[in-house]
Amino acid sequence: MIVLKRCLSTASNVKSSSQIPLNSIKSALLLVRQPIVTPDLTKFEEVYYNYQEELERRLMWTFPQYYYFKKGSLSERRFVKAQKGPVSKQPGVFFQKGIPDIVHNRERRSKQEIIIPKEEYDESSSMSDFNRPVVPNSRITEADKTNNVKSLERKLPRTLHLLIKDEKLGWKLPSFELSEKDKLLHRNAEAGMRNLGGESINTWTVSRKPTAVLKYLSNKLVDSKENSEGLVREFIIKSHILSGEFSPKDIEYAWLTKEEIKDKVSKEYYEATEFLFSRV
Amino acid sequence: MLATKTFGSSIRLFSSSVVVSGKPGCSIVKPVHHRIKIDKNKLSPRFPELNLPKTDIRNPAFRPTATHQDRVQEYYHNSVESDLLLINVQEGEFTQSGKKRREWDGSSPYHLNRPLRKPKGSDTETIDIKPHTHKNIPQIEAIHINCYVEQAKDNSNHALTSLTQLQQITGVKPKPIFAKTNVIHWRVRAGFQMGASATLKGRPMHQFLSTLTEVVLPRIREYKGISNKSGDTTGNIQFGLTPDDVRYFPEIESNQDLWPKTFGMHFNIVTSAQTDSEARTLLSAFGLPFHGSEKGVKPENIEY
Repeated sequence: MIVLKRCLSTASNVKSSSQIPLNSIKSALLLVRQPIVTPDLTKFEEVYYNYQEELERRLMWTFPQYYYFKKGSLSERRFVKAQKGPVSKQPGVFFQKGIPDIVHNRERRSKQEIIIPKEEYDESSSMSDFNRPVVPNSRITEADKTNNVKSLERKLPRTLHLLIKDEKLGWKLPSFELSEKDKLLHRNAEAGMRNLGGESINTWTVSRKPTAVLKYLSNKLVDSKENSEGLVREFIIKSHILSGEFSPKDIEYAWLTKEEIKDKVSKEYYEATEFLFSRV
Repeated sequence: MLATKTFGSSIRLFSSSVVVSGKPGCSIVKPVHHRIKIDKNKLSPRFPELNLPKTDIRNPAFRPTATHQDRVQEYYHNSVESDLLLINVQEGEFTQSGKKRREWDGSSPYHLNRPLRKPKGSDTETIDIKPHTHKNIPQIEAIHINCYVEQAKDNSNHALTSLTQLQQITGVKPKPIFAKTNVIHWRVRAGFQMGASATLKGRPMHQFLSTLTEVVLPRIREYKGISNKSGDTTGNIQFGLTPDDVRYFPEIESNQDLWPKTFGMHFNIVTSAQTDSEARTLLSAFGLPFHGSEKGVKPENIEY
């Protein structure tokens, strides 16, 4: 008889599969929304970067205008017109801020300010769309203002994690019972999530290996070293939401950052799962 | 050659590339017999600031580097690193020894002092694959860019243009490359300046990587991606860009008049990954696309 060993399957082969009841294994899902914008800078970082940038500009070489603009060309004329130009040295004049030291039309004692000539933007013309001024979108969205925890467009610089409210266990990561004997854990988690939140969701499962395991004994979270009979194990599979929406019908859910999770879940649950949540 | 002409055959030459570049390669100020090159400027008491490291603000060569938030680095630390660990780690891993040179069996007296045998089934040694832990998560270490210009053998101005092009694209100072030997049927002589090369690390590398993946590669027509067969088996991935692709770099595109001619280039992305497939996983997190099947892997055999 040929014995087929499923080396890559995550179900352990400590006991034979007939001995382990199917409802003692669950696959949970850690569904993550990655940060969309760069992390917020602290006040110190902001000041530090600003100082370094100013210093870099101060130490920079003079802009090689002759390299970028051909002599006598229209673009050169436009560029020269846009520049402010330094104050030049005059004989017999007192300069309050020190005598100007100008080489190649640059005041050498300070940073050089280059002004890029911009054509005027005309809203009516479709051709001038290229010159449209760049206005960045706000980092604070509508969902932030209304504190809509169900929206995926909240807390753009932070990682969000999906939590659902269970009737018995309170707020926790969504978990799904193993439906078939031979189903892989990550497949089960994906299918369960689609069952719950609809098909209009695009996710990427990081690995078929679980990131963590939680152990329950009669609906109570127990220590990870506990190894008694009747344990229910929850294997947590990590996945990213890429697009779409998680929209379940009759279940309470929330997209939360690490700090918000701490306030929402029970103390034991947070201690057991804290390391899974991103600090940023 | 210059050195040999000047000093006769009594001067020992330590490197052939120095000769090729037309520099003496040894001190021409007496005494000339130092085996270690001495920077005599540093011995002078006149400019003590020059002896300080360049990262010291008192050194006139100081240039600030951390002038802005490094979003590629932050993305790696915040999002990529933990996923890579989860992808790569396997339970019960142990160090897999690579192919190493073998001892001779000693059946012949000539085996004494003979160099070791070649590894089995390979000409060169291969590296050991160590267990994956949080300490050896792969990351991009450097990008080497090599721009060899064939036409430079006829017109050396092309080599200078390639230097400028590389400087414009990367923002770092490139180095010229020289032909090492005579290749008669290429009509190349040793010592010809044949193009430019640059090594990017840290912030300039991250800046370059984001320009490449966000601006340049998406605009190349019918670009399939980096070949999945690319790689040197130790976690470094190579690919190239044609002269037309290089035109999509914003520094060149915004100044078309200045660039009647552009040059293609080769990239070598050096990562700390142990195998090529790990390196590809890392690079795809930064938005570099890959295409084709991997060496020795049939796509129909991959189970998702």
